[in-house]
Amino acid sequence: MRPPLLLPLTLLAGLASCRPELGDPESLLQGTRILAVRGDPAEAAPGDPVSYQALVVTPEGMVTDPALRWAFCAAPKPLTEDGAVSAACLGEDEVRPLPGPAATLTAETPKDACALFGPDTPPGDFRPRDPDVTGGYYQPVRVRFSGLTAFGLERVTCHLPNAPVDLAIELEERYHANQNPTLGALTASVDGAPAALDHLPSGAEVRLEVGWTKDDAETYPVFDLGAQAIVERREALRVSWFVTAGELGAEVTGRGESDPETATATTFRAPGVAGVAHLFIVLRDSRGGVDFAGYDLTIAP
Amino acid sequence: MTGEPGSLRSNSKCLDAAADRLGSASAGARLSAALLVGLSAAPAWADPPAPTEVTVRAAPRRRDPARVTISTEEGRRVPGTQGDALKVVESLPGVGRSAFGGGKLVVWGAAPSDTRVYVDGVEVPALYHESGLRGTVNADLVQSIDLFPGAYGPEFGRGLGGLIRVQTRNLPSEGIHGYVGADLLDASGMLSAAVGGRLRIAVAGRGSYLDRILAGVVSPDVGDYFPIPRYRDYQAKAQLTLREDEELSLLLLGSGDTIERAKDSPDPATVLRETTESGYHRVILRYTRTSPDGDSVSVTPFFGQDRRDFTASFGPLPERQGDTAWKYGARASYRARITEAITASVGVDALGSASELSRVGSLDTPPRDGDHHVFGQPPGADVNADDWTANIVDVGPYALAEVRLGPVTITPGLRADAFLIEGSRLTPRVGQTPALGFSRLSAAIDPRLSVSWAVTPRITLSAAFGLYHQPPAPADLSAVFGTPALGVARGLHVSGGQAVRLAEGLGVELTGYYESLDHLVVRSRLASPKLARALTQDGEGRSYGVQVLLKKQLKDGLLGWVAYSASRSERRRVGDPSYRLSDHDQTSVLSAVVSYSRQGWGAGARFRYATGAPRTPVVGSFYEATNGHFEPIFGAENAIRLPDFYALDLRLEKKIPFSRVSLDVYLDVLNVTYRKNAEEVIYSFDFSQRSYITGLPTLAVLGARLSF
Repeated sequence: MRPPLLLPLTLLAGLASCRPELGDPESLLQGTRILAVRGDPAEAAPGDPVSYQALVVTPEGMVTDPALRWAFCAAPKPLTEDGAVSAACLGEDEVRPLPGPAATLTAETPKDACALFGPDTPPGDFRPRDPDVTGGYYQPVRVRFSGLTAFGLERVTCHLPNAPVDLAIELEERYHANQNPTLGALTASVDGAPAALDHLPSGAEVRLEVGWTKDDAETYPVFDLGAQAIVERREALRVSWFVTAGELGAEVTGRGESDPETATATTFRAPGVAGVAHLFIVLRDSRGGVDFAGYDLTIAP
Repeated sequence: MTGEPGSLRSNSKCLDAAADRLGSASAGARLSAALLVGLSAAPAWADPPAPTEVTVRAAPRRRDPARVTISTEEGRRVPGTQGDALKVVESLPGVGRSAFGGGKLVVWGAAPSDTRVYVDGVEVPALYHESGLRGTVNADLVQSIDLFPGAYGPEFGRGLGGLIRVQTRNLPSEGIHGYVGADLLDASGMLSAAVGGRLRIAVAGRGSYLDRILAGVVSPDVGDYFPIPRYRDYQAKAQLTLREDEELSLLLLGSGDTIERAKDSPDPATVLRETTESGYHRVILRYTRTSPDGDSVSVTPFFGQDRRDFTASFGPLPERQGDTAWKYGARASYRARITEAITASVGVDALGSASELSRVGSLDTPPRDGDHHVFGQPPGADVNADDWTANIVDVGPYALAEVRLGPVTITPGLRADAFLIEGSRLTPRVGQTPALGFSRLSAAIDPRLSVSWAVTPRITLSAAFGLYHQPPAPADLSAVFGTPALGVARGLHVSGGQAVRLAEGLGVELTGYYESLDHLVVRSRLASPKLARALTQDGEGRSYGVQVLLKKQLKDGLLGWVAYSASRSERRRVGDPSYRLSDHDQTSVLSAVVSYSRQGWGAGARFRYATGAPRTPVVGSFYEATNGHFEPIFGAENAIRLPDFYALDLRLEKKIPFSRVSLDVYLDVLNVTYRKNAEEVIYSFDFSQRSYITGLPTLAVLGARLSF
């Protein structure tokens, strides 16, 4: 028992619990959701074609051939907004509609992508846009389906601005466009013993593990703006987990830049009743590469 | 005694101390100060009356509308201060409520960075430690605290907002005195001694241990949401009497804060590490000479350093902001009685700041007034970096006169600031290309005027206005994150009020004010601004309101006041058709304080109410699928508010005298009603649901101090 004198401190520590729970967890799918947008290739130069597809799900499972309406965003975000996409691209005036509706689409990366969203500036002393921490610039691709709006960010290969010429040349020589990572097979285990996805015990805590290849965590050069030098970085890989029933321990797991492991895991509390739970996994790398997969988890009585 | 003009005999040292409280060296002002001091209890180790008596001729004291002076003895009785008199400022009229743990001062709707804090005439960066739990100057070294919400005189400048002036205490001229004290937050102590007949010295210090106590009783993840502060401060003061009317004093001040926050996560993108180190040091030398006829000379050179280093990582996103500034300058004044009716002052207020800054991270962090952001969201993904230096030197000569025309006192003043603004880079760095710096001079002429009219012995009307200029913050002069070409911002303050003395020690003051601000620094709205123009000076603002203070001064153990402010603070950009609420607008702020002590026992209560601060609502969201999170769609700027705040605080204390020492034991209980006050808005992952992070539950702080 804590001394009474410490009670006030315990109350103060109650601040830690002053953050209320707000609804269901993100990983529990209770309606239609767009979970991922994948461009292939994951990085393209202006004018290069890219094939896009999206992962659209409902509590009943993956939506096959969804009628998606696609558009390229054409408005860079103002400095007063800290999101990835300008709010102007939610309207119709600042987007370039693409053919559709279509589940998948191949479109040419806008030729002005590096001017709109990258470092290319018009004549005159204008401020180049800032890259992300990986040195990347992104063309937002809007996807709409059933009242939902999502944006994929297609990495665009642009020139390096405001850098010494020798470093800009070196970076162009050493840099390789990002590749989408590839999800490995999903494995399940209960109490350390392998478990079949089509026969998971109801109510059991299941360890779900998924991996990728060693090459998926690519190393890449990036111009360090502070050091004014080219440094080598390695991609972090993150896995987002979604289920239509049951409960996930961690919704997003992954490996950081310095972590050489090529697999990540979460726990899944299987529902207490028999049935099928749909599991969706989205693998993302640091530079905008995406892969995704869906599984049916059969819960045995 | 009354405050009417006339002659009387009084004690010069008491008058000096009183004059210090009012920051005035005139005989008249010192007399009025003495009258006020008469209403305040002195600490146990205060100077005994000196045998010397002088005759002074008194003039009515200058009256600034809305100015509030609180003595240390009054301040430390206020519940919720834990005996720290500096914290009383939070309960004064015109001061908005800052979020728990913030320690920021919102005065008449101004941004906290626009309000200036002075200790013995020298600017310091913070009145409170980062946590807001304590002041940065030991209350036992403080004589009084003056709050000037606006429209103050020409002796001070460089700020668009309010002014808080802390006057340190004259040290006791005999014996060895001091105290040691501790409560659940920290421990502190002070020792003063008279060395010979002319030299008096004192040292004081404080260190917190809240983090160590909490570590022993709560789970380690407390720091996820409530960064546990660590703070420390020190002070040293020496006073050397050169001659009877001449003194040299040396004051050393220092304060440091460390706030660390860490949150582990299986998701590498949400691993959080955050450390803030901040502090300041000041060395202040002060020479004063006061002649028997009331003329006075004061020269205060000073030197110091401000430092703030913020380092964080939000997953792979780095954030580093380092700012080390060397501060130097001097304040000098000469005050003389020209005629029976006119007293004149001339002086100079000079401050230099040589800053070395570095920054890595998103342009959008920290958010500025008018930015769209949601509390708790990671910074923007775009990053940049810059290292730069900035020198800002301001020399502000000033002059003012106090002209007494019967019951009317007119105080015209003029301040002329010359701002030298230099920086190391006009454009962002490119490789080893030599930097092209900049240097420019800006001049500002600031007329100030205050008028007070003693309509009757009980009623005084007063009015004041002033023009104010504020140089840009060195952090905003970055060629990458800011704009090196920034100039000074401008503010116009107008106020007027009425003070009525209802009874001995009981008065009511009503004040109205209007402030107009322009050339405020705001972030560019453009997606592609010109190079090195990320910030603009398109901001405009206005604040207006009324406040009333009903105060019962400390007498016979009873102290209390009710302060209410109704105000509105608005901002817009040049060309905008209408104003919006500023981030710091609070329509109503009410503080009611009562404290009573008798026969060693003391008890008090404080009630605070404040309208919730504005926030920009989130009206929708979209999914950013590449990084896997929802992003908010914002509604109209600052169109909603946090729920109103109110809290009741209680204080109980017992003084136990012994032969040579005195033991004070107190219990300060904050938010006794366990009101769950909202401190910030938070949203569900898809922004479809909204709720609030609530702040301080009930916090009881038990403390004791041994004085000798």
